[in-house]
Amino acid sequence: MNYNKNEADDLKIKAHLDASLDLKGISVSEDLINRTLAAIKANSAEAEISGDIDSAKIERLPSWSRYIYGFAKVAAVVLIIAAGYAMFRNYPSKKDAGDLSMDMSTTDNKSEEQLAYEFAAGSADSGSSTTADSADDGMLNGSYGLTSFNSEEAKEYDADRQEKMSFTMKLAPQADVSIQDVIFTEPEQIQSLTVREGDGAAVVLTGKDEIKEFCELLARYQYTSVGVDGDSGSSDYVIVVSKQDETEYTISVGSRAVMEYMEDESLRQQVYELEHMELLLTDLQELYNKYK
Amino acid sequence: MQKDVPNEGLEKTPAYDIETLIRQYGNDVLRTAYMYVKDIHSAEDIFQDVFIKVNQKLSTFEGNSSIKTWIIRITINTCKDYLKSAWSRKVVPMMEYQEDSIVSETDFDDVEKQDTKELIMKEVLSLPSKYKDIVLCVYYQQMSLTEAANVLNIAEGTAKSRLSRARKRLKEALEGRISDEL
Repeated sequence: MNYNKNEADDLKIKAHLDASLDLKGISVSEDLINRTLAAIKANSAEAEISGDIDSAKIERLPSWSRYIYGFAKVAAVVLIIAAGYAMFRNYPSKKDAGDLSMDMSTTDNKSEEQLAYEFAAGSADSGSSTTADSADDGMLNGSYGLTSFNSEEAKEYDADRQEKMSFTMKLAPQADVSIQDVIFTEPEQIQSLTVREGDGAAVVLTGKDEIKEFCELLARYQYTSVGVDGDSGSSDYVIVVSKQDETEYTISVGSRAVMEYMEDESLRQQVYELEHMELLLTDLQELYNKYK
Repeated sequence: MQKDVPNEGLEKTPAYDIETLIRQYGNDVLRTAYMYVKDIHSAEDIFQDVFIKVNQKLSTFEGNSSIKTWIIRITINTCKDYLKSAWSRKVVPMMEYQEDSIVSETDFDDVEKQDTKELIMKEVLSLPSKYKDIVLCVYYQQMSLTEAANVLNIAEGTAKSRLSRARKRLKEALEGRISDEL
């Protein structure tokens, strides 16, 4: 070499570079040699066909690891897109998010309406008030444990929801007594029954046999409590049950049965669904017509 | 260290076996390519390109330099073409970190030694292109200044001054960091 002593490789650059490259595993493999030979053969054949070596396009043979590497990159992109799409699809809508949040803030399967009324009637039912409190906490916090639904939109929706439920609670808190308590358990306590068909005239039943017959008619059906909704809805028949202790219960029968009564200056409500509502309506019509 | 194949032999043997060249100079080509493009997949592509070109142009090799110098010249030019391409500018090689694998004192020593090698490599590869070229040709490929100047298409005096400046830069960059090694 024609450089002088001052230019000698005193940094041992070659040794260091080789050692570093060895550590990185940068060396020619048999696979690379074979691929290169195959590529040379392929390019030679192509050059012979075209008759122009210089213009022959170089065709490489990439290693399988590159295919895998490329495939992995494509797979990663697809996975990210799929995950994004799945997140987009599963992103809760306003309603879903509200329902989900309520589910997450409670430990039982009670409907949100029930929880709301349990909250309102907390002093009367300490067992359920705990659950209602937790539900309320969840509602007030507005997060419900959902990280993906924490936007202003969600808060606005929560506010609307709370306002609506607050209105419902003022209108008709949940009843402490059931329709079975009122009608079936102690029919002898009933002083009178007033039955009105739509906007028609009211029929007042005061006789014990008449009241008993009416109660027996109502007792033939199974009533399933579905909570409260603050709306009595349209009704075909309105039955007012007056008890001896001067309490009055109004039962509106239409597409469902809604029982309401006043207690502590607030209206209490319970909504029931019947499997054979049309039969009850027919029976009520017969009875109404009988005493009309 | 690989022994250079005399070019007289090649001239007398037109049907020179390309596989022999690949096996003999393959590592030089691959490593040189890696030090330019810093990505093994790209280096392998360049490796194939170089030997395809070597095979295509072997008949035009005049023997004015050693076959190794000729192949390295093709390698450097191919690397520079690759780096000029739009595609290569988009590729950012992934860094390899090995600190996570440190589990013992011996490992720390190994890593320290490795760090020294990495440091030198990093400094060499981060030199400006004109200095890196001359350092790789002269120190890594062990070419003479004349050969290096020929490969890089520069005057010998220019090659000499570039080598001198490159050494100065490297020493300044490494001073106090790998004192034991210097």
